[in-house]
Amino acid sequence: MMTVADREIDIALLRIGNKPGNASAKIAVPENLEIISDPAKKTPADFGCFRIMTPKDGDKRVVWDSRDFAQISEAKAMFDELVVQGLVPYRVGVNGRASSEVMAEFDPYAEEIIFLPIAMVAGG
Amino acid sequence: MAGAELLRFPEALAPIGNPGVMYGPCSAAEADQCQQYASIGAKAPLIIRSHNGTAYYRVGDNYLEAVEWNMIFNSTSAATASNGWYVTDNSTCGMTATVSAKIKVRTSYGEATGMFAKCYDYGTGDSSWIKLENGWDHFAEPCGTAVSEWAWANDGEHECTVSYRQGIINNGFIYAKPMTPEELKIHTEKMLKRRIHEVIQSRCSPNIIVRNNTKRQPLAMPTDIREQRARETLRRVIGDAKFTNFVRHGFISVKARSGLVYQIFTGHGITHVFNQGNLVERLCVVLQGNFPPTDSLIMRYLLILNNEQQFRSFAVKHSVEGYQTGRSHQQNGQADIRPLAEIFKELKRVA
Repeated sequence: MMTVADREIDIALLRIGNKPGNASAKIAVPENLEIISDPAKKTPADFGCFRIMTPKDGDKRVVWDSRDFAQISEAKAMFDELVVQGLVPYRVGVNGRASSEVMAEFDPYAEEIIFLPIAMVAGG
Repeated sequence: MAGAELLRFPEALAPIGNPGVMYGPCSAAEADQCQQYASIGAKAPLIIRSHNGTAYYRVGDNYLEAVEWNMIFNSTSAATASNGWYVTDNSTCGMTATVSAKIKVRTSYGEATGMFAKCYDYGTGDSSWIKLENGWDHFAEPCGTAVSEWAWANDGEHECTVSYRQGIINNGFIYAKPMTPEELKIHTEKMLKRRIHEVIQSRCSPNIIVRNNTKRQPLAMPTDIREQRARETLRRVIGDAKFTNFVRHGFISVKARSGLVYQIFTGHGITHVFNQGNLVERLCVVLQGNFPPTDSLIMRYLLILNNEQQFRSFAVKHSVEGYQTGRSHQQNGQADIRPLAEIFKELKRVA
């Protein structure tokens, strides 16, 4: 049984100078969307997938049924919110198809979308 | 491989061995690798290894790929010899699987009524040469004959050197499958092609460089669930084949649009940039915060593929002066300088 906290994604927002800052934001996962916690569990067929990089969870995987309009709508809303919070969505090729492109807008037919906290990227 | 057409197996898909009897510890590296596979829910690859432990062959998850091994049925003289192989089933953390088998022989060497066979007993060494009578037989007294036909049977009594041509792993059982004439023909042509390819490759200039002094070890099994998730994401993105290499070597390589090849490591590992095989830059780009190490690798992969310039704009450059990626050597050894046509003719004759 998932708690409310389990259905929240804690995303890192910014860094201060060359160090990660404490600022973060919590984004609730819409009710109709499923969170897959088990790394070994595969995304069901015909489902789209967000993989959101967070320090707390590693990659939080949220899936939606691309045949269900209600779920698509919620996925789009979540997509927009994540983008507003500064995460960059990359549509990636899967199974070895080496490709990645930044998505300007939500595409319900995208197989995998990885959200990268670009604010946390820095030279080392 | 004269006599290949004489190869026979029992009924199609008849089980010939149950690797339920395990013995012999795997190496630490094998155990680590196995645990990593288990940790991500992946089926571990099967490894076939020679007696002296030097040759490893990665075979598919479902099919044993025919590799170049010597077959005891292939002798036409009294001096039979087998180059034995045993099977390591890494799905049980690298423990050695024993295969119980009995050999069916039909000899045609003079007045011979049987064959020699040698049993390999892991841990105690090879058995003596043992005679097998014609037909389905257990190991008995030594004698001097040759083999013209053989096959495996399943009696669950003996642990023998196994020579597979093709097989299937399913639920822990090893199955042998007879090759149809068409499959045998395809297989023979494939082996011939591979050998010729190797010869041509060995004549290329410059020779292929193989690094033999790398100290890279397979990645340790992640205990952190966050890292497990990150690795699963990476696996999904780069595919199973590249992911297997990643687990083995700890990095992935990606070619950017500029033609440069980036060798990306996990965590805070410095990214190596190669131009036509030469290390030209070392770039450091990190994902700050308490992210799992593989997330950093995914970040670099995405940035390099999507916007190489952006990746480089983030990077802090490190010197390549004095930095060595490892000594290299030419691996070809003694070159076969005969004309290719002659080599091909010989291979064709042997096949």
